[in-house]
Amino acid sequence: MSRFLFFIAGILLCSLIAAGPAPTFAQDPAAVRGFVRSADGGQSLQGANVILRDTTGNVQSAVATNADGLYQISEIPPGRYRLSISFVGYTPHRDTLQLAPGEQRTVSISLSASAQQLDDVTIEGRRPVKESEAGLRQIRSADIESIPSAGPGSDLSTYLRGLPGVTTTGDRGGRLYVRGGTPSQNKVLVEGMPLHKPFHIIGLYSAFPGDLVSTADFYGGGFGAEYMGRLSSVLDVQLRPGNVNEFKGSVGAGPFLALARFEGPISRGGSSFLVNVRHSLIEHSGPTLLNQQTPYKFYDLTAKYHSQGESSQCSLVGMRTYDRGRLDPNRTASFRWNNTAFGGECLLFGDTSAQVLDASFGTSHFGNAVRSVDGTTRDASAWRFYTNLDLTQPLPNGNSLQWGFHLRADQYRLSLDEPFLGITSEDYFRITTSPYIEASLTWNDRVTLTPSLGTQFQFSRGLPMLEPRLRLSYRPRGSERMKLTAAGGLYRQLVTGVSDERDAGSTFQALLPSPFTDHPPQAAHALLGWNQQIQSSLRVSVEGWYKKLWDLAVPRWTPIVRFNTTLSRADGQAFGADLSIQYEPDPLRLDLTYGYGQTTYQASEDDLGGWTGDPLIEYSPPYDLRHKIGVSASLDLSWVTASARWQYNSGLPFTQVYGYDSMLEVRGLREHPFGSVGTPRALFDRPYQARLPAYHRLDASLKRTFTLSPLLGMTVEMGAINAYDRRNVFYVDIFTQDRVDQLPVIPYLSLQINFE
Amino acid sequence: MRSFFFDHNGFATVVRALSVATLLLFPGCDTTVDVLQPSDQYRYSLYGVLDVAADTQVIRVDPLSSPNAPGASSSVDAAVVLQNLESGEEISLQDSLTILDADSTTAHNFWTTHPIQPSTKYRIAVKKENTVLTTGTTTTPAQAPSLNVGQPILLPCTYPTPTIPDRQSENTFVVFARGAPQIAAAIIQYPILQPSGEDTLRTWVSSNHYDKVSDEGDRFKISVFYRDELISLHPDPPSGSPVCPGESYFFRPAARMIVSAGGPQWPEWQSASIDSLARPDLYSNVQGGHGFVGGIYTDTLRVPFAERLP
Repeated sequence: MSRFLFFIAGILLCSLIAAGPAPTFAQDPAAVRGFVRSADGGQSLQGANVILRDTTGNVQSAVATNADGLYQISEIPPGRYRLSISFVGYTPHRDTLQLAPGEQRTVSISLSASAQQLDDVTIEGRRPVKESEAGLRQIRSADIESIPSAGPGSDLSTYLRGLPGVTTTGDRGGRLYVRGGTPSQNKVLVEGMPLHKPFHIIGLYSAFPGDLVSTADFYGGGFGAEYMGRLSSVLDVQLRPGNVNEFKGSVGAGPFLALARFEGPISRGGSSFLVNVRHSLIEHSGPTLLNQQTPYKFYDLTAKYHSQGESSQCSLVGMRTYDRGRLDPNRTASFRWNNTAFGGECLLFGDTSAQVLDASFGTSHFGNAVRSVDGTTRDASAWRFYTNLDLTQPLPNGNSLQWGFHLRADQYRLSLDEPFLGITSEDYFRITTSPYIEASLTWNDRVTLTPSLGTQFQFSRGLPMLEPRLRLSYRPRGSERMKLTAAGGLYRQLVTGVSDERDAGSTFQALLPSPFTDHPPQAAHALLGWNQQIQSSLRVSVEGWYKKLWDLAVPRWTPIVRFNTTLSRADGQAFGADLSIQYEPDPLRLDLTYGYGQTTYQASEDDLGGWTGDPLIEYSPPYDLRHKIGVSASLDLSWVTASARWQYNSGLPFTQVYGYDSMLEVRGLREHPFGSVGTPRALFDRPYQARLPAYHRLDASLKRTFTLSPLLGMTVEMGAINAYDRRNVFYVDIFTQDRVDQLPVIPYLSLQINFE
Repeated sequence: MRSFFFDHNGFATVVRALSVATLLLFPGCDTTVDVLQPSDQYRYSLYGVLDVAADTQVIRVDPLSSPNAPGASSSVDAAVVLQNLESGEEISLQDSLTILDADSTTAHNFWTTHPIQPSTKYRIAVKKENTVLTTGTTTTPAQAPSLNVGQPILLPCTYPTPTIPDRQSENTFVVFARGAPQIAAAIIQYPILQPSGEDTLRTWVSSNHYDKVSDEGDRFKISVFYRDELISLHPDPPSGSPVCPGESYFFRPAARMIVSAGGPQWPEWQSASIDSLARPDLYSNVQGGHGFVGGIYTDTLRVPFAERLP
C-alpha cells in the first residue's frame, strides 16, 4: 500500500511541478475558454466539440465541454486560429481568433438548434466510447425518457433501479443498494448539495423528474477523491436551468401524481427561474384503481435560480421532499421522511488567470421517523452545513490539475422508543474537512491517468488518513471504437447508517458517527471495464468490480424483535460483473443488461453475538442480489413513442425462523409467568439464509404529443406498471409473517399540458 | 423495422442467448414464502422456577412453531409434567391461558400446587403422544438463605446538599444472606397506600435489587438504596423538589425483603446484557427447546421503617 501511496504522491507532485508558476503571470501561451449553451433556453451543452485549428487547418487542440458546458484550451502559442464549436442538432459556431501572448480569451457562445438536424437530437443518448469511464454511468435526460414510467413525465429513479449493480428491496421504501453497498454509503449531490434520501416511498419516483435533470453522473465505484465521505457510490445530479429567453410551463396529472412547472427569464438571456412541484395522488386514486389501500403520500418541490454570464455561471437551488406511508397497508406502522436543502454554486474564472473556481455552500436537513404498531416511535435526523471550494488548473497538453477544500458541520440526532427496552436518545455534532488534489494526465490521446489523493479530518478524531485513488483509461491505437477502463482506490466513511435489518420492509434509518473511532468503515475498490463499439448502432460494455470492506458497523445478532442499534464490527467483500448491450438503430433503442453480484460479510462470532459455533461467521446481507437482467426498448416513431422494460431479479435473502416465543427474565425473578408478557423473540439459526422468490416485471407505455397551437402542446401517455400482474413479494415481516407484495398491475393514463 | 432488427445475425444470437439464460434462471412461478420452518430440534420454550417455599409452581410453555406471535395459540396440544427424578413421581401440570395485557396477549402458564422438596432434582417435561419433546431439568437448593439486616429504613430520607453532595449511604440498608450457594433473587416490597378515587388501595410495590447482590465469600451482601425508589413510589408527590413518602404512606410498619437461594446449577448471569440472555444458546437448561427452569428456595425478611434521628 505504501508503494502505491508514493506512486500517487509522485504523480501529483509531478503534476504540481508541471503546473509551474501561477498562470496569472504566464507570458507566452494563451488560452481560450468559455461556456457553450443552447440559444433556445440557455441550457449548458455537455459534450459539445470545441476545435481550435491553425490557419493551415491543422488541429491545434480539441476538447469537449463538461457537464457545465465549460471548455478550456490552454498552452496555445500566440497567433491566429480558427475556432469551431459544434453539438449534434445545433448550428455550429465558427470564429477566427487572434491570440496575443499570455492572453486568457473568453469565448462563451450560444448555439441555435438546427432545423435540418433536429431529428438527431433524439439520439443524443448515443455517445462515443471515448466518454466511457470506469464505474461511471453518465445519465442524460434522453436516457431517462426512454424508460417507461407512470407519468406525467419520467423520473431518474425509474432509470437507476434498472441498472445492473443497483439493488432495491422493492418498489416502496426509497432505498438503493449499489454494488454491495448500503443506502447510507451512497452519496447523492444536487448541484453540490447533499441529499440523504431523495427517493420517494413509491420507488418509481425521486426528487429528480427526468426533464429537470441536465446530467447525472452515477458512479457505482471507483470515484475520485473529489467525492469523499462515502464508501459505495456517488450520484451527482445537475439540474437544468430555467429558460432564460421565454416563459414556459406545464401542468399534468396521472393516477400516481400531479405536477406543475413554471420557468422563465428574470433577466432575458442572463438569469432565469424554474419552479417544479409534484404531489402524489395515489393515496386517493389507488383504492379505485387497484381495489386496495395505497396509503402513500409524497411531494417534492424544486426551485432554481440561474444566472449566466461570459465567464461565470451561478445557481441557487432549494429542494424539499416529503414522504409518508405505511409499507404494509394492513398495519399501522407508519414511516415518514423529508429532505430540506438549500444551496448555491458558482463556476467562474477571471480574465487574468487560467484557473476555474467552483464554489458552493448550503445546508441540508434529513429527518425520518417510524411509528410502530405498538405505538412506539423512532426518530432520527441529520443536519449538514457545508462549503466547498474547487479549483481547476489547466496544464500543458490538455492535462489539468484540480484541488479543493470541503468543510462541513454535521449534527446527528436520534430518539428510539423501543418496546420492553425504553427510550434511547443520542445527539452528535461533528466538523469535518476534506481537502483533495486530482490530476488528469493524457499521453498520446490513448492513455488517460487520473490519480487523486484526499483525506478527511474530523476534529473529534485523531490523525487524518489518506485516501489515494486512481482512474485510468486506454484506447488502443487511439481508436474511438474500443476503450479499456480501470479504477481503484481507498474509501472511508465517518458516518454509519443504522437500519432495521430484521426484514427488508423497514425503511427507517438512523445516521450516527461511526462507533469505531480508531478505524472508521473503509473500502477498497477495483474496477476493470471494456467498451466496444461493434457497429455504429451496437455497443457492448463489460465491467468487473470488486470491493473489499473493512470495519463496517453491522447490527449484532439478536432474536429480540426490536430495532437494533447495538453495532459490531464486520468486514466484507463484494464482487460482480455488469454487462450492457446497447443497440440503437434509429428509431429503435434497445438496451440489454445483466448484472451479477455477490456480497458477504464476515465477523467473529464474539463480535457479532452469534450462536452458530463457528469462530468466524460469514453471511449474506439482505440486499445480496445475485442476478439481475434488464431489457428495455424504446421505439420513437413520428406519431407515437412506445417503450417497454422487463426486469428480472433473483430472490433476495431473508431470515427464516424456526420458532417464536416470549422470553421471561428469570434472572433475579424480574418476570413471572402470571405477570409478564416477556420479551418476544424470533428464533433463527443464521440470518438471511433463505431466499425470497425471484422478481420479474414488465412495464410498458405509449406516448404521443399533440400540438394544439404554436404555444400549446399536450402529451398523452398510457401504459401499465407490472403489465402481467406478477405477484412479486416486497417483504415478509419475520415476526408477524405478514407478507406485503409489490405493486400489482397498474394501468395508467396521464396527461400533460405544455404552454409557453 | 424488420430490417434493423433481423438483419444483424450477431445481435439476434445475443438475444437468443440471453433468452435461454433468462429461462434457466427462472426458478418457476412459485411466489410463496415460508418464513417459519419449524425445527425438530427445538419444539417448546420453558420459563419459570420451582420454589420450595411457594404454594404454587408456574411454568410458561410456548410452542415455538406457533404461527401467532406474540401470544399463544389456543392450545398447546401437549402434556406438561413435573417429574421428581429421585423418587420417580410424576405430576401433570394444569394449563391456564393467561391474558397478560391490554392487547389481550395470551400465554400458556402450566401450574401445580404439588409441594417441592429441597435438594431434589426435578424435570419439567413436555410430552406429546408419550414422546418427550422438551425438558428442563433443575435441582432445588438444600435450604433457604439465612437473612439478617443491619439497620431499618430510616425516614425521612436525606437529600444532597451543597456541602454533602452524596448521601446515598444514609439512605441505604444492607441485608446479608448466608447458607446459599447462589442468590437467585433479591426483591424488596414496600406496603404503599395508593389513592384510588375516594378509596385507598393497599399495594405491595416491588423493586428488584438483584443487581446489588455481591458475593463476600461466606455470605452475600445486598445493598438497598431506597431513597430514589421511594421518591418514585410516592403516592401523592408534592410539587417542587422530590420527597420520599413518610411513614404514614405505608400500611405496614415494615417492608419485605424477599431473597431466594438458587440451586447448584444457577447461572452466573448477573451482568449479562438482555441480548445475551435472549441468545438461544446461552443460559438455557432446556433440552429440545429453549428457556430456563430453575430451582429456588425463598425466604422473606421484615425491614422495619424507623424515624431518622437528628
